[in-house]
Amino acid sequence: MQRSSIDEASLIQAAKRGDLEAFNRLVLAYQDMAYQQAFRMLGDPADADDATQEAFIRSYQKLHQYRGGSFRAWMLRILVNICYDEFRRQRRRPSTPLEPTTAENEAIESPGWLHDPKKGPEELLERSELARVIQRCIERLPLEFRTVVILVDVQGLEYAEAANVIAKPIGTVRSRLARARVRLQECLHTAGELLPVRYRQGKEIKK
Amino acid sequence: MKDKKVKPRDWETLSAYLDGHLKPWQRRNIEARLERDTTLRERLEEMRRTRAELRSLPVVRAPRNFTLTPQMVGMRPYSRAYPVLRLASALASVLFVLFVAGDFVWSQTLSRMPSLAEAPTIVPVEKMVEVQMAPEITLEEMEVEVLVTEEVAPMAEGEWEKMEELTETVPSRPMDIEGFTAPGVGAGEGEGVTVFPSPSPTLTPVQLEEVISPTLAAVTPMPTQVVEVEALPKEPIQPFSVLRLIEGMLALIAVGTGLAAVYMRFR
Repeated sequence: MQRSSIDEASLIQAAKRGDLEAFNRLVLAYQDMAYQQAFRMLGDPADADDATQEAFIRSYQKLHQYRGGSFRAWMLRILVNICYDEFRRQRRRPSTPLEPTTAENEAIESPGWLHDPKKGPEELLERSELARVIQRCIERLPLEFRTVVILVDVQGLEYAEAANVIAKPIGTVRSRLARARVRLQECLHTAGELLPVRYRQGKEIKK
Repeated sequence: MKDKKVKPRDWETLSAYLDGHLKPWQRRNIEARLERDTTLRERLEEMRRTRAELRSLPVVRAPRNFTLTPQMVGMRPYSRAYPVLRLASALASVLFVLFVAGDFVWSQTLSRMPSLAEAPTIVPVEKMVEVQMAPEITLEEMEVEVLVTEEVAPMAEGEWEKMEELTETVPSRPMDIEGFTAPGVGAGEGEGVTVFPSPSPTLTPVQLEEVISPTLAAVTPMPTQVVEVEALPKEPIQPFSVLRLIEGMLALIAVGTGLAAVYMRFR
Protein backbone atom coordinates (compact mmCIF):
# COMPACT_ATOMS: atom_id res chain seq x y z
CA MET A 1 0.00 0.00 0.00
CA GLN A 2 2.83 2.33 0.94
CA ARG A 3 4.70 1.38 -2.22
CA SER A 4 1.70 2.19 -4.37
CA SER A 5 1.35 5.62 -2.75
CA ILE A 6 5.06 6.26 -3.40
CA ASP A 7 4.54 5.21 -7.00
CA GLU A 8 1.54 7.52 -7.22
CA ALA A 9 3.55 10.42 -5.80
CA SER A 10 6.36 9.87 -8.31
CA LEU A 11 3.86 9.59 -11.15
CA ILE A 12 2.24 12.86 -10.07
CA GLN A 13 5.63 14.59 -9.91
CA ALA A 14 6.54 13.29 -13.36
CA ALA A 15 3.16 14.40 -14.73
CA LYS A 16 3.69 17.85 -13.23
CA ARG A 17 6.90 18.08 -15.25
CA GLY A 18 4.86 17.41 -18.40
CA ASP A 19 5.20 13.63 -18.62
CA LEU A 20 1.89 12.64 -20.19
CA GLU A 21 2.69 8.93 -20.02
CA ALA A 22 3.01 9.13 -16.25
CA PHE A 23 -0.34 10.91 -16.03
CA ASN A 24 -1.95 8.27 -18.25
CA ARG A 25 -0.91 5.61 -15.76
CA LEU A 26 -2.87 7.52 -13.13
CA VAL A 27 -5.79 7.71 -15.56
CA LEU A 28 -5.76 3.95 -16.00
CA ALA A 29 -5.71 3.49 -12.23
CA TYR A 30 -8.70 5.77 -11.57
CA GLN A 31 -10.81 5.68 -14.71
CA ASP A 32 -13.25 2.99 -13.45
CA MET A 33 -13.92 4.85 -10.25
CA ALA A 34 -14.29 8.16 -12.08
CA TYR A 35 -16.65 6.72 -14.67
CA GLN A 36 -18.76 5.01 -12.01
CA GLN A 37 -19.08 8.26 -10.05
CA ALA A 38 -20.10 10.16 -13.19
CA PHE A 39 -22.54 7.48 -14.30
CA ARG A 40 -24.21 7.18 -10.89
CA MET A 41 -24.55 10.94 -10.66
CA LEU A 42 -25.74 11.63 -14.20
CA GLY A 43 -27.47 8.34 -15.03
CA ASP A 44 -26.46 8.42 -18.69
CA PRO A 45 -23.49 6.54 -20.17
CA ALA A 46 -22.72 9.13 -22.84
CA ASP A 47 -22.82 12.02 -20.37
CA ALA A 48 -20.71 10.01 -17.94
CA ASP A 49 -18.19 9.33 -20.70
CA ASP A 50 -17.91 13.01 -21.57
CA ALA A 51 -17.67 14.07 -17.94
CA THR A 52 -14.95 11.53 -17.18
CA GLN A 53 -12.84 12.52 -20.16
CA GLU A 54 -13.24 16.19 -19.35
CA ALA A 55 -12.29 15.54 -15.72
CA PHE A 56 -9.02 13.89 -16.71
CA ILE A 57 -8.16 16.65 -19.14
CA ARG A 58 -8.82 19.32 -16.53
CA SER A 59 -6.91 17.34 -13.92
CA TYR A 60 -3.85 17.31 -16.16
CA GLN A 61 -4.14 20.99 -16.95
CA LYS A 62 -4.60 21.95 -13.29
CA LEU A 63 -2.04 19.52 -11.94
CA HIS A 64 0.25 22.37 -10.87
CA GLN A 65 -2.52 23.37 -8.40
CA TYR A 66 -2.41 19.99 -6.69
CA ARG A 67 -0.81 20.48 -3.28
CA GLY A 68 -0.57 16.93 -2.00
CA GLY A 69 -3.08 14.86 -0.05
CA SER A 70 -5.39 12.33 -1.64
CA PHE A 71 -5.02 12.53 -5.39
CA ARG A 72 -8.18 10.44 -5.76
CA ALA A 73 -10.18 12.99 -3.77
CA TRP A 74 -8.66 15.90 -5.69
CA MET A 75 -9.49 14.33 -9.05
CA LEU A 76 -12.99 13.35 -7.89
CA ARG A 77 -13.66 16.94 -6.83
CA ILE A 78 -12.96 18.09 -10.38
CA LEU A 79 -15.23 15.34 -11.71
CA VAL A 80 -18.05 16.17 -9.29
CA ASN A 81 -17.90 19.84 -10.28
CA ILE A 82 -18.14 18.86 -13.93
CA CYS A 83 -21.16 16.68 -13.12
CA TYR A 84 -22.77 19.63 -11.28
CA ASP A 85 -22.23 21.79 -14.38
CA GLU A 86 -23.68 19.10 -16.62
CA PHE A 87 -26.64 18.62 -14.32
CA ARG A 88 -27.41 22.35 -14.36
CA ARG A 89 -27.04 22.43 -18.14
CA GLN A 90 -29.50 19.55 -18.50
CA ARG A 91 -32.01 21.31 -16.28
CA ARG A 92 -31.78 24.43 -18.44
CA ARG A 93 -32.04 22.46 -21.68
CA PRO A 94 -33.92 19.18 -21.15
CA SER A 95 -33.31 16.70 -23.97
CA THR A 96 -35.13 13.63 -25.27
CA PRO A 97 -33.06 10.42 -25.31
CA LEU A 98 -32.54 8.77 -28.68
CA GLU A 99 -32.59 5.25 -27.18
CA PRO A 100 -35.91 3.36 -27.40
CA THR A 101 -37.89 3.61 -24.18
CA THR A 102 -40.99 1.95 -22.72
CA ALA A 103 -44.26 3.68 -21.93
CA GLU A 104 -42.83 4.44 -18.47
CA ASN A 105 -39.95 6.20 -20.16
CA GLU A 106 -37.44 3.49 -19.26
CA ALA A 107 -34.72 2.20 -21.52
CA ILE A 108 -35.68 -1.08 -23.20
CA GLU A 109 -32.22 -2.58 -23.17
CA SER A 110 -30.15 -2.56 -20.06
CA PRO A 111 -26.52 -1.57 -20.62
CA GLY A 112 -24.17 -4.42 -21.31
CA TRP A 113 -21.74 -3.45 -18.58
CA LEU A 114 -24.33 -4.40 -15.92
CA HIS A 115 -24.13 -8.07 -16.81
CA ASP A 116 -22.07 -10.29 -14.56
CA PRO A 117 -21.11 -13.56 -16.27
CA LYS A 118 -20.54 -15.34 -12.95
CA LYS A 119 -24.22 -15.19 -11.95
CA GLY A 120 -27.09 -17.34 -13.17
CA PRO A 121 -29.88 -15.94 -15.36
CA GLU A 122 -32.42 -15.55 -12.52
CA GLU A 123 -30.03 -13.96 -10.14
CA LEU A 124 -28.68 -11.82 -12.91
CA LEU A 125 -32.14 -10.61 -13.73
CA GLU A 126 -32.83 -9.96 -10.06
CA ARG A 127 -29.59 -8.07 -9.55
CA SER A 128 -30.12 -6.12 -12.72
CA GLU A 129 -33.65 -5.23 -11.65
CA LEU A 130 -32.58 -4.15 -8.18
CA ALA A 131 -29.65 -2.18 -9.56
CA ARG A 132 -31.98 -0.36 -11.90
CA VAL A 133 -34.40 0.46 -9.10
CA ILE A 134 -31.60 1.71 -6.87
CA GLN A 135 -30.19 3.79 -9.69
CA ARG A 136 -33.62 5.35 -10.27
CA CYS A 137 -33.88 6.15 -6.60
CA ILE A 138 -30.39 7.66 -6.57
CA GLU A 139 -31.30 9.88 -9.50
CA ARG A 140 -34.30 11.21 -7.59
CA LEU A 141 -32.11 12.47 -4.78
CA PRO A 142 -31.04 16.09 -4.65
CA LEU A 143 -27.62 16.43 -6.26
CA GLU A 144 -25.81 17.20 -2.99
CA PHE A 145 -27.22 14.08 -1.29
CA ARG A 146 -26.62 12.00 -4.39
CA THR A 147 -22.96 12.96 -4.52
CA VAL A 148 -22.30 12.02 -0.92
CA VAL A 149 -24.15 8.70 -0.93
CA ILE A 150 -22.32 7.61 -4.08
CA LEU A 151 -18.96 8.65 -2.66
CA VAL A 152 -19.44 6.85 0.66
CA ASP A 153 -21.76 3.91 -0.02
CA VAL A 154 -20.96 3.09 -3.65
CA GLN A 155 -17.30 4.13 -3.94
CA GLY A 156 -16.43 3.32 -0.33
CA LEU A 157 -14.70 6.58 0.62
CA GLU A 158 -14.21 7.57 4.24
CA TYR A 159 -16.12 10.55 5.58
CA ALA A 160 -12.96 12.69 5.64
CA GLU A 161 -12.12 11.93 2.02
CA ALA A 162 -15.71 12.56 0.93
CA ALA A 163 -15.58 15.87 2.79
CA ASN A 164 -12.41 16.68 0.87
CA VAL A 165 -14.17 15.94 -2.42
CA ILE A 166 -17.16 18.17 -1.77
CA ALA A 167 -15.05 20.76 0.08
CA LYS A 168 -17.35 20.71 3.12
CA PRO A 169 -16.88 19.73 6.78
CA ILE A 170 -17.27 16.13 7.90
CA GLY A 171 -20.46 17.08 9.75
CA THR A 172 -22.03 18.04 6.43
CA VAL A 173 -21.09 14.67 4.95
CA ARG A 174 -22.61 12.88 7.94
CA SER A 175 -25.82 14.87 7.73
CA ARG A 176 -26.24 14.57 3.97
CA LEU A 177 -25.45 10.87 4.02
CA ALA A 178 -28.08 10.14 6.69
CA ARG A 179 -30.75 12.09 4.82
CA ALA A 180 -29.80 10.43 1.52
CA ARG A 181 -30.09 6.98 3.08
CA VAL A 182 -33.50 7.74 4.56
CA ARG A 183 -34.77 9.05 1.21
CA LEU A 184 -33.42 6.01 -0.59
CA GLN A 185 -35.10 3.79 1.95
CA GLU A 186 -38.40 5.54 1.31
CA CYS A 187 -37.90 5.31 -2.43
CA LEU A 188 -37.23 1.57 -2.24
CA HIS A 189 -40.35 1.05 -0.14
CA THR A 190 -42.35 2.93 -2.75
CA ALA A 191 -40.93 0.73 -5.48
CA GLY A 192 -42.75 -2.18 -3.77
CA GLU A 193 -43.25 -4.94 -6.28
CA LEU A 194 -40.31 -3.81 -8.38
CA LEU A 195 -37.98 -4.87 -5.63
CA PRO A 196 -36.46 -8.33 -5.82
CA VAL A 197 -37.95 -11.12 -3.69
CA ARG A 198 -34.92 -11.23 -1.44
CA TYR A 199 -35.34 -7.59 -0.51
CA ARG A 200 -39.09 -7.91 0.07
CA GLN A 201 -38.61 -11.09 2.14
CA GLY A 202 -36.04 -9.40 4.30
CA LYS A 203 -38.41 -6.54 4.83
CA GLU A 204 -41.29 -8.87 5.68
CA ILE A 205 -39.18 -10.97 8.00
CA LYS A 206 -38.07 -7.92 9.91
CA LYS A 207 -41.65 -6.80 10.22
CA MET B 1 -38.69 10.89 7.50
CA LYS B 2 -42.35 10.12 7.57
CA ASP B 3 -41.88 8.13 10.77
CA LYS B 4 -43.03 10.42 13.56
CA LYS B 5 -41.12 8.50 16.23
CA VAL B 6 -37.71 8.98 14.68
CA LYS B 7 -36.34 12.51 14.66
CA PRO B 8 -33.96 13.76 11.97
CA ARG B 9 -31.15 13.87 14.53
CA ASP B 10 -31.81 10.22 15.37
CA TRP B 11 -31.54 9.24 11.71
CA GLU B 12 -28.20 10.97 11.54
CA THR B 13 -27.05 9.21 14.68
CA LEU B 14 -28.21 5.83 13.34
CA SER B 15 -26.39 6.43 10.06
CA ALA B 16 -23.17 7.40 11.80
CA TYR B 17 -23.56 4.45 14.18
CA LEU B 18 -23.73 2.09 11.20
CA ASP B 19 -20.49 3.54 9.83
CA GLY B 20 -18.74 3.58 13.21
CA HIS B 21 -18.40 7.36 13.25
CA LEU B 22 -19.83 8.02 16.72
CA LYS B 23 -17.85 9.06 19.76
CA PRO B 24 -17.79 6.42 22.53
CA TRP B 25 -20.33 8.23 24.71
CA GLN B 26 -22.66 8.73 21.71
CA ARG B 27 -22.37 5.06 20.83
CA ARG B 28 -23.19 4.00 24.41
CA ASN B 29 -26.14 6.35 24.38
CA ILE B 30 -27.66 5.05 21.12
CA GLU B 31 -27.05 1.41 22.08
CA ALA B 32 -28.96 1.97 25.31
CA ARG B 33 -31.85 3.49 23.35
CA LEU B 34 -31.80 0.67 20.79
CA GLU B 35 -32.20 -1.87 23.57
CA ARG B 36 -35.29 -0.08 24.83
CA ASP B 37 -36.87 1.14 21.56
CA THR B 38 -38.06 -1.53 19.09
CA THR B 39 -39.04 0.98 16.39
CA LEU B 40 -35.61 2.55 16.44
CA ARG B 41 -34.10 -0.91 16.10
CA GLU B 42 -36.28 -1.62 13.06
CA ARG B 43 -35.27 1.63 11.43
CA LEU B 44 -31.66 0.80 12.04
CA GLU B 45 -32.08 -2.56 10.32
CA GLU B 46 -33.84 -0.96 7.35
CA MET B 47 -31.02 1.52 6.99
CA ARG B 48 -28.44 -1.25 7.27
CA ARG B 49 -30.23 -3.16 4.50
CA THR B 50 -30.42 -0.12 2.26
CA ARG B 51 -26.71 0.55 2.77
CA ALA B 52 -25.96 -3.10 1.99
CA GLU B 53 -27.91 -2.87 -1.27
CA LEU B 54 -26.08 0.28 -2.24
CA ARG B 55 -22.74 -1.34 -1.53
CA SER B 56 -23.68 -4.39 -3.55
CA LEU B 57 -24.41 -2.41 -6.68
CA PRO B 58 -22.44 -3.82 -9.60
CA VAL B 59 -19.24 -1.95 -10.31
CA VAL B 60 -19.65 0.09 -13.43
CA ARG B 61 -16.45 -0.22 -15.41
CA ALA B 62 -15.21 2.37 -17.83
CA PRO B 63 -16.36 1.43 -21.35
CA ARG B 64 -13.04 2.57 -22.79
CA ASN B 65 -9.67 3.98 -21.79
CA PHE B 66 -9.65 7.67 -20.98
CA THR B 67 -5.91 8.14 -21.51
CA LEU B 68 -4.94 11.53 -22.86
CA THR B 69 -3.16 12.42 -26.08
CA PRO B 70 -0.99 15.53 -26.60
CA GLN B 71 -3.71 17.00 -28.81
CA MET B 72 -6.31 16.65 -26.04
CA VAL B 73 -4.32 18.69 -23.57
CA GLY B 74 -3.07 21.19 -26.14
CA MET B 75 0.50 20.10 -25.65
CA ARG B 76 2.95 21.49 -28.18
CA PRO B 77 5.90 19.45 -29.42
CA TYR B 78 8.54 21.92 -28.24
CA SER B 79 7.36 22.01 -24.65
CA ARG B 80 10.43 19.97 -23.69
CA ALA B 81 12.48 23.13 -24.21
CA TYR B 82 11.05 24.51 -20.96
CA PRO B 83 13.44 22.71 -18.57
CA VAL B 84 16.40 23.57 -20.81
CA LEU B 85 15.48 27.26 -20.82
CA ARG B 86 14.90 27.21 -17.10
CA LEU B 87 18.33 25.68 -16.49
CA ALA B 88 20.03 28.14 -18.84
CA SER B 89 18.39 31.06 -17.08
CA ALA B 90 19.44 29.78 -13.67
CA LEU B 91 23.04 29.20 -14.77
CA ALA B 92 23.31 32.61 -16.40
CA SER B 93 21.90 34.24 -13.27
CA VAL B 94 24.42 32.48 -11.03
CA LEU B 95 27.32 33.41 -13.32
CA PHE B 96 26.10 36.99 -13.48
CA VAL B 97 26.08 37.25 -9.69
CA LEU B 98 29.57 35.72 -9.50
CA PHE B 99 30.95 38.14 -12.06
CA VAL B 100 29.41 41.16 -10.37
CA ALA B 101 30.80 40.05 -7.03
CA GLY B 102 34.25 39.47 -8.57
CA ASP B 103 34.12 42.86 -10.24
CA PHE B 104 33.28 44.53 -6.96
CA VAL B 105 36.02 42.72 -5.05
CA TRP B 106 38.60 43.61 -7.70
CA SER B 107 37.68 47.27 -7.76
CA GLN B 108 37.88 47.36 -3.96
CA THR B 109 41.31 45.75 -4.06
CA LEU B 110 42.59 48.24 -6.63
CA SER B 111 41.35 51.20 -4.63
CA ARG B 112 43.37 49.99 -1.64
CA MET B 113 46.60 49.83 -3.68
CA PRO B 114 47.74 53.47 -4.33
CA SER B 115 50.49 52.52 -6.75
CA LEU B 116 47.95 50.84 -8.95
CA ALA B 117 45.21 53.33 -8.33
CA GLU B 118 47.35 56.36 -9.29
CA ALA B 119 48.91 54.85 -12.35
CA PRO B 120 48.66 57.27 -15.29
CA THR B 121 46.09 56.32 -17.71
CA ILE B 122 46.95 58.97 -20.29
CA VAL B 123 50.20 58.76 -22.13
CA PRO B 124 51.97 62.15 -22.21
CA VAL B 125 52.39 64.06 -25.42
CA GLU B 126 55.07 62.43 -27.44
CA LYS B 127 55.44 64.78 -30.35
CA MET B 128 53.91 67.65 -32.11
CA VAL B 129 52.01 66.82 -35.16
CA GLU B 130 51.65 69.34 -37.85
CA VAL B 131 48.27 68.96 -39.36
CA GLN B 132 47.77 70.49 -42.69
CA MET B 133 44.32 71.57 -43.56
CA ALA B 134 42.94 69.58 -46.45
CA PRO B 135 46.08 67.72 -47.41
CA GLU B 136 44.21 65.44 -49.69
CA ILE B 137 44.66 67.56 -52.82
CA THR B 138 47.99 69.02 -53.85
CA LEU B 139 48.62 71.33 -56.64
CA GLU B 140 50.38 68.60 -58.61
CA GLU B 141 47.35 66.42 -58.43
CA MET B 142 44.98 69.13 -59.37
CA GLU B 143 44.27 69.14 -63.03
CA VAL B 144 43.51 72.57 -64.11
CA GLU B 145 42.99 74.33 -67.31
CA VAL B 146 44.84 77.52 -67.23
CA LEU B 147 43.98 80.34 -69.47
CA VAL B 148 46.71 82.85 -69.62
CA THR B 149 45.14 86.17 -70.32
CA GLU B 150 48.17 88.32 -70.14
CA GLU B 151 51.88 87.94 -70.02
CA VAL B 152 53.24 87.91 -66.52
CA ALA B 153 56.40 89.36 -65.17
CA PRO B 154 59.39 87.10 -64.44
CA MET B 155 59.71 85.81 -60.85
CA ALA B 156 61.85 87.78 -58.55
CA GLU B 157 64.77 86.25 -56.72
CA GLY B 158 63.85 84.47 -53.48
CA GLU B 159 60.27 84.15 -54.41
CA TRP B 160 60.73 80.65 -55.77
CA GLU B 161 61.11 79.29 -52.23
CA LYS B 162 57.82 80.91 -51.28
CA MET B 163 56.24 79.30 -54.25
CA GLU B 164 57.50 75.85 -53.28
CA GLU B 165 56.14 76.28 -49.81
CA LEU B 166 52.82 77.26 -51.21
CA THR B 167 52.60 74.34 -53.56
CA GLU B 168 52.87 71.95 -50.67
CA THR B 169 49.85 73.33 -48.94
CA VAL B 170 46.76 74.01 -50.88
CA PRO B 171 43.62 75.15 -49.15
CA SER B 172 40.50 73.06 -49.68
CA ARG B 173 38.27 76.09 -50.08
CA PRO B 174 38.04 77.93 -53.37
CA MET B 175 41.34 79.46 -54.16
CA ASP B 176 41.67 83.07 -53.21
CA ILE B 177 44.88 83.86 -54.88
CA GLU B 178 45.96 87.18 -56.10
CA GLY B 179 46.32 86.83 -59.83
CA PHE B 180 43.85 83.90 -59.93
CA THR B 181 40.13 84.18 -60.12
CA ALA B 182 37.62 81.50 -59.33
CA PRO B 183 35.23 80.69 -62.13
CA GLY B 184 32.28 83.00 -62.32
CA VAL B 185 33.94 85.65 -60.26
CA GLY B 186 35.71 87.24 -63.14
CA ALA B 187 39.33 87.99 -63.75
CA GLY B 188 41.24 90.84 -62.31
CA GLU B 189 42.28 93.76 -64.40
CA GLY B 190 44.87 92.44 -66.77
CA GLU B 191 47.01 90.40 -64.35
CA GLY B 192 44.88 87.47 -63.23
CA VAL B 193 44.45 83.98 -64.58
CA THR B 194 41.27 82.06 -64.47
CA VAL B 195 41.49 78.51 -63.17
CA PHE B 196 38.81 76.04 -64.18
CA PRO B 197 38.92 72.63 -62.56
CA SER B 198 38.54 70.21 -65.40
CA PRO B 199 38.31 66.39 -65.62
CA SER B 200 40.40 66.39 -68.80
CA PRO B 201 44.07 67.23 -68.36
CA THR B 202 45.33 69.94 -70.60
CA LEU B 203 48.70 70.43 -68.99
CA THR B 204 51.16 68.14 -67.31
CA PRO B 205 52.36 69.21 -63.88
CA VAL B 206 55.72 70.21 -65.31
CA GLN B 207 54.09 72.33 -67.97
CA LEU B 208 51.79 73.79 -65.42
CA GLU B 209 54.66 74.74 -63.21
CA GLU B 210 56.41 76.41 -66.08
CA VAL B 211 53.34 78.37 -67.01
CA ILE B 212 52.24 79.57 -63.63
CA SER B 213 55.52 79.98 -61.81
CA PRO B 214 56.03 83.58 -62.97
CA THR B 215 52.46 84.40 -62.12
CA LEU B 216 52.63 82.95 -58.63
CA ALA B 217 55.29 85.44 -57.81
CA ALA B 218 52.60 87.89 -56.93
CA VAL B 219 50.62 85.38 -54.89
CA THR B 220 50.14 86.05 -51.23
CA PRO B 221 50.60 82.70 -49.59
CA MET B 222 47.89 81.40 -47.27
CA PRO B 223 49.08 81.05 -43.77
CA THR B 224 49.61 77.43 -42.97
CA GLN B 225 47.50 76.34 -40.10
CA VAL B 226 49.55 74.49 -37.63
CA VAL B 227 47.67 72.79 -34.90
CA GLU B 228 49.33 71.41 -31.92
CA VAL B 229 47.61 68.32 -30.71
CA GLU B 230 48.41 65.82 -28.16
CA ALA B 231 49.22 62.47 -29.60
CA LEU B 232 46.40 60.05 -28.92
CA PRO B 233 47.48 57.89 -26.05
CA LYS B 234 47.56 54.21 -26.64
CA GLU B 235 44.94 53.09 -24.12
CA PRO B 236 45.56 49.63 -22.75
CA ILE B 237 42.63 47.17 -22.81
CA GLN B 238 40.72 47.75 -19.59
CA PRO B 239 39.88 44.50 -17.78
CA PHE B 240 36.86 46.27 -16.26
CA SER B 241 35.29 46.94 -19.62
CA VAL B 242 35.64 43.27 -20.58
CA LEU B 243 34.06 42.30 -17.29
CA ARG B 244 31.16 44.69 -17.81
CA LEU B 245 30.63 43.30 -21.28
CA ILE B 246 30.46 39.75 -19.93
CA GLU B 247 28.15 40.86 -17.13
CA GLY B 248 25.83 42.53 -19.61
CA MET B 249 25.73 39.47 -21.81
CA LEU B 250 25.03 37.19 -18.86
CA ALA B 251 22.24 39.46 -17.67
CA LEU B 252 20.70 39.45 -21.13
CA ILE B 253 20.89 35.66 -21.38
CA ALA B 254 19.41 35.21 -17.90
CA VAL B 255 16.49 37.55 -18.54
CA GLY B 256 15.86 36.31 -22.09
CA THR B 257 15.85 32.62 -21.30
CA GLY B 258 13.87 33.25 -18.12
CA LEU B 259 11.15 35.11 -20.00
CA ALA B 260 11.06 32.41 -22.67
CA ALA B 261 10.70 29.72 -19.98
CA VAL B 262 7.87 31.61 -18.29
CA TYR B 263 6.14 32.05 -21.63
CA MET B 264 6.42 28.34 -22.44
CA ARG B 265 5.17 27.39 -18.98
CA PHE B 266 2.06 29.57 -18.90
CA ARG B 267 1.12 30.01 -22.53
